Amino acid sequence: MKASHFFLSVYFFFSLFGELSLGFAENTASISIQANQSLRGKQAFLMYCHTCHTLKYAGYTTLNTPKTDLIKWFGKMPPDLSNIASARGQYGVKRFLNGFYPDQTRPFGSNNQQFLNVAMPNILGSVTDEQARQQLITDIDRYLSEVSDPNASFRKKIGVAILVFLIFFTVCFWFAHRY
Amino acid sequence: MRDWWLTRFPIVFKWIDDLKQYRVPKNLNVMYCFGALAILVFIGQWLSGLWLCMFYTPSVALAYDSIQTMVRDVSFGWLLRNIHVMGASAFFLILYLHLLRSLLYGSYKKPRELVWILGVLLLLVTMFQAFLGQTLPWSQMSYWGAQVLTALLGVIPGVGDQLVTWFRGDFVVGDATLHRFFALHVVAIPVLLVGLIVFHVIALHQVGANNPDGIEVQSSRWDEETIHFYPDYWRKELLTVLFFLMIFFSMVCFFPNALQQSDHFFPANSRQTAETIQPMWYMLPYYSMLRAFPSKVGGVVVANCALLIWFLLPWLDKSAVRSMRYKGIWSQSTLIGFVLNFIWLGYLGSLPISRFILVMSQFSVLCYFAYFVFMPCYTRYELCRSLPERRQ
Repeated sequence: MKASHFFLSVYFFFSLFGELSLGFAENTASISIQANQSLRGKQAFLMYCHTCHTLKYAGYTTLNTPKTDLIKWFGKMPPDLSNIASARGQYGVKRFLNGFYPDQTRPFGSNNQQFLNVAMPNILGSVTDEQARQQLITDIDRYLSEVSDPNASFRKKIGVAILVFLIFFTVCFWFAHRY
Repeated sequence: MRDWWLTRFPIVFKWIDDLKQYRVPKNLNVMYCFGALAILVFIGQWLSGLWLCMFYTPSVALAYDSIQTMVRDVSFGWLLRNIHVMGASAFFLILYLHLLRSLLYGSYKKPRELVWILGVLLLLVTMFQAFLGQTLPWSQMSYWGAQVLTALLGVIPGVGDQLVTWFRGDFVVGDATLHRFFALHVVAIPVLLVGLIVFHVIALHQVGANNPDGIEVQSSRWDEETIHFYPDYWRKELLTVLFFLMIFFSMVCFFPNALQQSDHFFPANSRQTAETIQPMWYMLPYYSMLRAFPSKVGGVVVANCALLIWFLLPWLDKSAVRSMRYKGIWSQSTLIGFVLNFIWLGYLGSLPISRFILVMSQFSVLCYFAYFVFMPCYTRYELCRSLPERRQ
């Protein structure tokens, strides 16, 4: 049997195996933990952020606070947060929420290291328990990342499958090319 | 079967025969793979763009939303969009490396001047296409980038303001601008690009490919020194295509936002200036030239001259040899300096403006032009290595 035939059949077998293993990638036990974290994040967002910020692409388009009031208090409309996690990068939201410090020259008494002279007050500053506050920040960060990029986990799985396919095809083609 | 086609559409056989007979020098190295990769990415952009058009709405009110719906709700919509956006960056990386190959091995010298001219024209049209495509998502960067770049037409004395209004379709960048940019990006420029690519390849096949030594294959040794393009060289290129696809899909699936700025993710707001108005990385060197001069006219003239001077290269290079392998120390060091300066100029374009950055940019622009302006001098008078009798 020619070497090229052997390597081609190796490639076909492996790509079939690769496609099947994708189906087992979803671990059923981990789904409920993820759903729980996602729910906590959504609740935290609705409780602390949704007063002023809309989340258009997750379905939260209307605010209870009137638009005129928001513009009066902050000078401009608080931005929609649907893509904020993509805009600010992997650690941007966390750094922002952790970056508030007291500053008496500002109208609400706080400024932000990440976003200087931000119009937003330190909403999470009212949470006195530091551990609970950090948990809230983690949950909100995770939820906003999920809303920004809902296909992230699927995309990474597809990426691995594509790379595996390409590497094996390259290897088999290299040997078929040589002989 | 063949006779049926021969009597009705014989030109297909002429193309196939040309491709079967086309031979390339056997010493082509990896720098020669970028032409095929460019065609591959172009086809990828065309296909991913076609599917994007099925979901995109080119109006100010709906453009941003339609793209968000596409990447969130449409099956594999995120993949199509990421391929198209990352494909544009991949296209320019490939084009710049393709250009570098030509500079290294003198692929622009006689008799390949027309191939070079068509290639530079392709680069400029692709830059225009990228700018148009960047406007379509109607993000903050789209709006303010369009605002800045269309305003550049206003430097032309006399008719400047009318030209800007004519180009935008309205007094400000708005719905009219978005609609016409969509029409140009999807219909007019792709047709122009296909035409230019076809002419570029026809012109190349007429004169044959150059090779890293820059020494033409003698007709007496044609069969020993060249290999068939198909299937021999094509197989070599397929390997590079596979490596490229690995890198490309790694970026698309694992780092899709690596080249995006924050302003790409906010919808356009004409009442709020974007945080950083900056084109994509491939246009940064020329953007840097635009910014380097306080006078608006000066910046536009310098940036345009910097693009147009590429056309003159075959006539600026007075060297007796083609390839950098045999050129003197002047050509070799100025090429290295030029490439590093080009990258440095691009980096300066990404930084916020300050007095220091301005002065550095101006100096870099001088170095950029010095490479071209002094080329007739140093290429004619430098000491080159003598060419070997037999090609290696």
